[in-house]
Amino acid sequence: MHRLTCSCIALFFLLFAFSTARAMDKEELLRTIDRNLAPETHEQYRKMINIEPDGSQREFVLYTVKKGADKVASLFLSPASEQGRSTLRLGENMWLYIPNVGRPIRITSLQSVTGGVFNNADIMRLDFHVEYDVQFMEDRGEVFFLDLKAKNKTVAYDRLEMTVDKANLVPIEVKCLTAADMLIKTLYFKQITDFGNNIVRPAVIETDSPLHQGYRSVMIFSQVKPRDLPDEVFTQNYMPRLEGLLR
Amino acid sequence: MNKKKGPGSPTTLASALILIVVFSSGICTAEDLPYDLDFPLPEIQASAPVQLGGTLEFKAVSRLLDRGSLLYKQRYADRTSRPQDASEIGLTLKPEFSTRGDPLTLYLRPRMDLRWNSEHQPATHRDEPSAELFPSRSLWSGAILVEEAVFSIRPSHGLSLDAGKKVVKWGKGYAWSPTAFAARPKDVDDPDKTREGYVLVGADWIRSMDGLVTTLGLNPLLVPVDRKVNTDLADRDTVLFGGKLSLLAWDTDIDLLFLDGHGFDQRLGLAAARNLAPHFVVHGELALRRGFERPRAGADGTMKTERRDAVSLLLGLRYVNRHDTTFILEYLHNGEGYGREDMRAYHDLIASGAAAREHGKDDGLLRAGRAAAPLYNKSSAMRDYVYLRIIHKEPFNILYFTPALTVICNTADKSLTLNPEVVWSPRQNLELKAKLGLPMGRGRTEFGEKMHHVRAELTLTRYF
Repeated sequence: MHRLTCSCIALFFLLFAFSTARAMDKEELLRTIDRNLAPETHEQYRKMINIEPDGSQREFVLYTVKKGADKVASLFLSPASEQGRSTLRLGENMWLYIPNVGRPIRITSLQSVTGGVFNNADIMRLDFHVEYDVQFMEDRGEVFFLDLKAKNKTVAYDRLEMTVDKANLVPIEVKCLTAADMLIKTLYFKQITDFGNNIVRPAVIETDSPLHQGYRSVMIFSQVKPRDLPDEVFTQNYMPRLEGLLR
Repeated sequence: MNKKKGPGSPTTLASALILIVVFSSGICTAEDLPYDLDFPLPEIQASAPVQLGGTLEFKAVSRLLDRGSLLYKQRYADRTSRPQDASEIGLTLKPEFSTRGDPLTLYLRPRMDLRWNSEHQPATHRDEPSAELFPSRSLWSGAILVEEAVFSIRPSHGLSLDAGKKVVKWGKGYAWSPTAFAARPKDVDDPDKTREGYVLVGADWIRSMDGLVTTLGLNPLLVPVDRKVNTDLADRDTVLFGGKLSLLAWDTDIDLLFLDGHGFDQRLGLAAARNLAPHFVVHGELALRRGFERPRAGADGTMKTERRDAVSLLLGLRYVNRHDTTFILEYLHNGEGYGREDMRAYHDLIASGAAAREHGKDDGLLRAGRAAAPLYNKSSAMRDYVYLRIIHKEPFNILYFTPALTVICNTADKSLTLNPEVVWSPRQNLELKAKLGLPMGRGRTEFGEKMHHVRAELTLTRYF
């Protein structure tokens, strides 16, 4: 009887240790994916292209700086109608500065600054591991499949289904879902590129959405590189002055 | 034997097959064509010494006049020709120049207005033009002014020193901002429209911290007033001093504000905003204007001035639903505004003046009413208002098309104006806006006595 009890306890600890190790593995994998996409503190330029069903396109160019887990600031460089607009995200708080309006106003993650399929949460995305827990991970040969659940209700998408390229440990496809498993949009990560500074990541994200039938949006990354900036850059007061960071 | 090449002949089928293969391979190639990662960055990023941008705006306004309204009578009682409608066409050029130096920068935004009216209008410039065009009595009018001209020195990321003419917008409100002490009043019909700034010297100091208070900002100001500069701020030559202390604490924006000086009613304010949920923002402002002098027009044409402290309160929210419909709701208690009885006395004055004029009597009452008009006919002249704006972005998958409906309600006299509008951007950097204004209300109410039944507005804006 004593031996049986000892065996059960040993089995319990073994199972607990195994499940903890698995949990750490999948969380570590998500952190690795985040770091492979960009250093935690960096700057980058992005071009966003909205493609309409008739093929006509509209382009937006943004400069973005990110610091730590939860600070992101972006500045629109073109077109002229958007030039000087800036957005700031500090954790769950987001602001939009429009030169005409002259002061930052609080905005929500579901709004879209540019129109099209990308919304504010996509443009000012934090690291995946900051907003999501890995519910489930599966090895599917050349790819990993991760089922991510939002850590709280303030996150824009309740669930993500992520397919990860095993060779480079970067996403290939991310499905964004509601809590009721309704598909909001799919992000396709393409064109793996070496940006220098050990940053090898997809340079293009394409997206489509059943909510916007026939429309597509594309985000092209350029000049992704580490840049450390003081915390004061990530404040509402600094939003009208973000242009001063351009080099 | 020559075989006829019909639709089903092998040659035709082969050709069709080749065409399909060629075209489909072409499509595949286009699909897989890598995007250009070295996309050209706009001039703003390049080392151009001067950046140029701006807007050119064409605006046409047509109004179907309400000939029975008191404001119509106030305007036309002594005229022989009384129009049924009025129209206006305007062109506004607003270029922006900026230089990016380190640490000195310059920003300049002049404005040139050119306007044609279907009849001669008294000067209605809401700002202070440097030069007026066509000052004689004609249907044409125009103005040139500098909205902003600011020199800034930025010795560090956390500090900016500014001098010149600058728009300083304090407050958190959308339609109204009672705590925007150092700015010209907003136009509730177009709250986003930029106005002229004031000449001032100011600083902006920021500090980021760990803990409950994550950001601390200080924005002190010195605002000179004399006969030529910032004349509408104070009634004597003086230098106003004020400032804004801003905090981001407990995920809430909190601003404490004040402005004071000789010949100026001291103002104190508090403004705050917070996201209660990612799609739900609340904001509020509380403002005190000490020793505010308010002229009141009696029904007999006499003007009396009362002096008291005026407290204004703004409460608002912004909500976005899953269908990308934004709701902005605000309530304003305007402590500087007129009460129901004050407005009734003013309306009685206009009615008496117009009736006297109709009967060929002395037009003293009409003149007294017109003298009080800038105080009583201005936007948000009364005390209690509710503002609701509903914006639905890109309905039916129509990209860059945004319909909106705005309702401004005077809760004291139960009158309102309904303003539906659509904004469409058919091409990049081109925006078309069509808007209607439909004032509604009984007699002797603010919107019920507006001069027009319907106001239609079409604006075409080109960004460059």
